[in-house]
Amino acid sequence: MSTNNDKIQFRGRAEKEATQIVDQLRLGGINISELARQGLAEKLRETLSDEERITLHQQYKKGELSDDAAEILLGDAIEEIDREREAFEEATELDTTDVFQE
Amino acid sequence: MVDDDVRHPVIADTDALIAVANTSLWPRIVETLQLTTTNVCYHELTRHIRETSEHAPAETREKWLHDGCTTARKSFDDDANDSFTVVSCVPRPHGEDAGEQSIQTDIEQHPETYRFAILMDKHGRRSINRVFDQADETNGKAVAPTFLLYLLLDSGACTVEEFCHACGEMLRGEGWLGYQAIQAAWDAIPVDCAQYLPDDLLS
Repeated sequence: MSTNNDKIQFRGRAEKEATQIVDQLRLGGINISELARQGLAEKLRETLSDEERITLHQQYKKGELSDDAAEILLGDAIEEIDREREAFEEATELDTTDVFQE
Repeated sequence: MVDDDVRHPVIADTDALIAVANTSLWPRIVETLQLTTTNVCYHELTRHIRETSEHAPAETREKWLHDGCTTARKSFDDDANDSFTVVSCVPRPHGEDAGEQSIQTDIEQHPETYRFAILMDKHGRRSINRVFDQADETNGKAVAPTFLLYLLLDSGACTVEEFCHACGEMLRGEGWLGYQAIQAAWDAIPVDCAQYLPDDLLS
């Protein structure tokens, strides 16, 4: 549920004007909040360096980062690590005949 | 280049070879494991060596590529080491993902031979896992390059400390992609490298 504390405000005269133009262009307008949420999440992810991503994932593992924030910032990486862990575990169960030199 | 068509159960692509050849455990891999790659990946290693400079500044991607490719290719060039083989992939794929593609093609043609496909790219691993899943009477898995380090650890060919240090080296060179592969390996084995690596992992 949204509360007033969830509000993000920023200045953007040209962006506001551009948004209003598209809003008027479309029948029924556009969902500005939804677009802004998606756009911000995407840009936040893009600006992160490898080092920052690693730091954030470490924080997530320690429980210092919420699931929601982690999903926005790390995208599908958490799921990907989980998927790779499963594949890795299955691989460790396979027969290793001829894998090693005599 | 040895092209003797011997297919070992472990096959690795160009990026996986680069990631592991840059770690200090590579000599141990060379003397412990039997490893196959394709002629397409071999040529990608050669191309990277040609297109990068050995004098590239330390800790750059260019240096990482050059050193990794040079080290990896040397092991496949060594006629005395028949545990490292290069097989010809027919038809030969082209384009950006040719190396990965060639691994997939060879697995499709010889599904019973391969058990472990080692690839850096997660999409590549996913499509090869589909090939393994669809093949009858065979068990195989595509995994990240950390698996080669795990094979050493599991067989007692390296210590936990050496394994962790190699993970740290891979992490510094491969960044976020390497980190994800390493986290997955640490969770799967499971192993705790905290005491052997710096807190921020990248220093």
